[in-house]
Amino acid sequence: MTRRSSIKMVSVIALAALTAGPVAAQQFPTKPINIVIGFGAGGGTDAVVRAVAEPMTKSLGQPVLVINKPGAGGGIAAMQIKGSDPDGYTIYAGGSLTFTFEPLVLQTQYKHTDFEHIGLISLFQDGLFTHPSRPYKNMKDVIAAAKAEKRSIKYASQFQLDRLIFQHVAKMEGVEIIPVPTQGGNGAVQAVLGNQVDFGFSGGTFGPHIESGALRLIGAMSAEPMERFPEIAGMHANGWMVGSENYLIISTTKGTPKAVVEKLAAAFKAGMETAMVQGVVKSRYMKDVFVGPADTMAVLDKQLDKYTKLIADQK
Amino acid sequence: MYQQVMQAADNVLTLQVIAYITFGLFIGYIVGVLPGMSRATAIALLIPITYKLPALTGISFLIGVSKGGNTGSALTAILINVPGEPQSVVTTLDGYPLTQQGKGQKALKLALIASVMGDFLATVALIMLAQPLAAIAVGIGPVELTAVLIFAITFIAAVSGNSFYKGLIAGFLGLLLAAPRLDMETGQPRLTFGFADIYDGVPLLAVAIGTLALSEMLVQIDRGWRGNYQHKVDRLEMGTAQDQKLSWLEFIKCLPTILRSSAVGIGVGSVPGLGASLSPFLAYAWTKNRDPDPDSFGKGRLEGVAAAEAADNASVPAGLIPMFAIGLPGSASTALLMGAFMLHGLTPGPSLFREDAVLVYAIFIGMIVASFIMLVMGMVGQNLFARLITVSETILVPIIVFICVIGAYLEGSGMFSVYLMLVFAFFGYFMKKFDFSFVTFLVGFILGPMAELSLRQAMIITDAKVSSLANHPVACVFLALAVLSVWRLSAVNLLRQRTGAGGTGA
Repeated sequence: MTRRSSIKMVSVIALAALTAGPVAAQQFPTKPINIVIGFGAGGGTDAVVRAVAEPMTKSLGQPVLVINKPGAGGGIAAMQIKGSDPDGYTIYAGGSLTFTFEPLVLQTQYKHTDFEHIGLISLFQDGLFTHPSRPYKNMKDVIAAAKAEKRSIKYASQFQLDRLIFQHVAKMEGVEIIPVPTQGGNGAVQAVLGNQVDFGFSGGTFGPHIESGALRLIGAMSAEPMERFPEIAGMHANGWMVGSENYLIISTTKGTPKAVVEKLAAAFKAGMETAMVQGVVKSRYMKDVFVGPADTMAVLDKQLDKYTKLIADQK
Repeated sequence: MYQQVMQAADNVLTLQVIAYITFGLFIGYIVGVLPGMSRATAIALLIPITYKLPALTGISFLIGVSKGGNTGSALTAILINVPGEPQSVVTTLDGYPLTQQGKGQKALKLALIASVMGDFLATVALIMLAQPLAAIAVGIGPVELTAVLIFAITFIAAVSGNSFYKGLIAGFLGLLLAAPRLDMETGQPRLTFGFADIYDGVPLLAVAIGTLALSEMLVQIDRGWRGNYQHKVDRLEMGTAQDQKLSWLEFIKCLPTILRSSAVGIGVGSVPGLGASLSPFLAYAWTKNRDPDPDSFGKGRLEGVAAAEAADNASVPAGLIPMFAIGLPGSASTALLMGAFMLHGLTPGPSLFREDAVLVYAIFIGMIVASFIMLVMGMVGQNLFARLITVSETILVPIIVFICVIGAYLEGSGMFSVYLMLVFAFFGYFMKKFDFSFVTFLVGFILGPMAELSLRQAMIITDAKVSSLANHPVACVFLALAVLSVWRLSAVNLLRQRTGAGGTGA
């Protein structure tokens, strides 16, 4: 073999290696795709992801299967994705807090940089509500009432994040806010319906009760007001520079070819835009947003920064 | 109203709706038979199918899945001692001994009748009494709930075991096993030894299948190994024709138990959060307590099967009571159903009666129709599945072990659950050998987290002042009942020790 031909040979191999990626990506997917949800059946994540799997199955030409793997705030599922082959066939779906909050409070064996994030496909909206027999019209009323009666405020708590947020509020306002642990949005709604606590919060679970008048909405737990209730104040409007922000995030294993990630992102985007999925998002009181693979990491970095500061503030 | 009901009946009694109800029941039945596939998972999987269906068809279909699941789970519980759903544990207690006595068919027949009756009665309660029952349910706050749970746990413990100390040991082992998880107030891992898989608690089904079903296989292998292995050709047909049939007399004898247990299922099932897990245990303990011969329970009493199944199935429609009356789901699978309502633009709750009464009546009629279809389907299913057991043990035992592994795996934590189940198989084996009560162990394990949550809520809400109990008369009544059952427990125990009568545990 002459020197020239061997150079030729090497360059052919190199070229083949270079083009192999995009070619494989063009053919992607050639087998079923698994979406692993980090939370149990019945939540907002579950409803939206199962809905979007259907149009995606059609557009990608391969079955898109949905599995629930709840545990450790989505961490169990995230660990599974971290250890999967970087080929885009195993996808995580859950809350962005799994990447931006849980690593700060639990000793997780993953960081948000250990994944390829495909995108953020909707935004959870948490409302704060009270029992209609209580006179509060907004969160300021709750604080004023507690101060006047010289008592503490009790609320239905679900996560560590809400505890940190309301600890911050308590410090700013000079009142005591005590979390009463409840399980999920339904637990919180139940505690407030039974008039056991001053207020509670949940995602879409509160919806029917606000409409029927069994609960009264007095705020949003996010910095800004909820999309459906623009007249109800968010945390910032009360002068509290905190708030929860949790997106429905779609991620896959680090090292997955860029073209595959792009293709999946496009399939998710198109799926989310179908009328059926939009209906599901609306019924869960979630906000329809889409952030693609290029910008997702920046959003996560910002979230992580915000929560790191919130935790540092408490110390 | 009459016209609305007629209109509703007209809407339900169409080929499409009936076909979907039957289809739903069938899927639910299969899911119930398979351990590890829970009803909630099945409903979550099937909700996308209902997007394109009319609201009535879709919702009736999902309610069918829910109902079928509970009936199907009795099958494996009775025939091979594998609880298809966690709450079918109670059905195994007397169901499996009956199978071992060649009365498996009889137990299955009774289980089916009891479950359909429980289901039917609870559906009627849902239709007639939804509003008053829900008003009571929502008044049960953490303080009352804690008292009810303390009473339930002590009452079940008082009735279940024969040895006071062994019962206590088993119960506290169950509670200990319920302790590892993320703490509900601080959110930090507790007793997890670094296993993230148990951050949400030790997998329930892995423990239940391991201690009950797989350990039973160990007992059988052990028996064979010691030389008393007999090649049983036909365990089911070992029983005489009389053993297979359920006589009228036997049914009449079980009828009070079925009615009482259905009432327990309706009452407990309609309290949001308490739900299905408690009612079979409570109904079983109550039946045993009332019986003149409580020691015979756990060795194959028909009443034991009837109590468990009636209560278990009654709690499914009962779980819909708070949903229809106040828009609050009673359990995980009801929460999913509520999601399905919302997808169709309907808001479950009192407003639904005002806005679309015809639909509500139609769903109720559909539920009653489902009860009857279930009866027929159950009869056919039993005859088919019962043949499973006529297989010789050398083939049957490996199949059961396989089903156990699949069941634990499917629950969610993958291989971790399977390894855990293997560990608990040995644990259950020794519990059997040393005669510790499974009931108190599992009650501690299943109800422990529930009791912990409501106790901690109650402590915070009342500022941990004992004097605040004065504002909760209902709680006081249940606490007094709890003291009474502890007193009874120690009295009976003392009597046993004096007379020197021993006994084997349930």
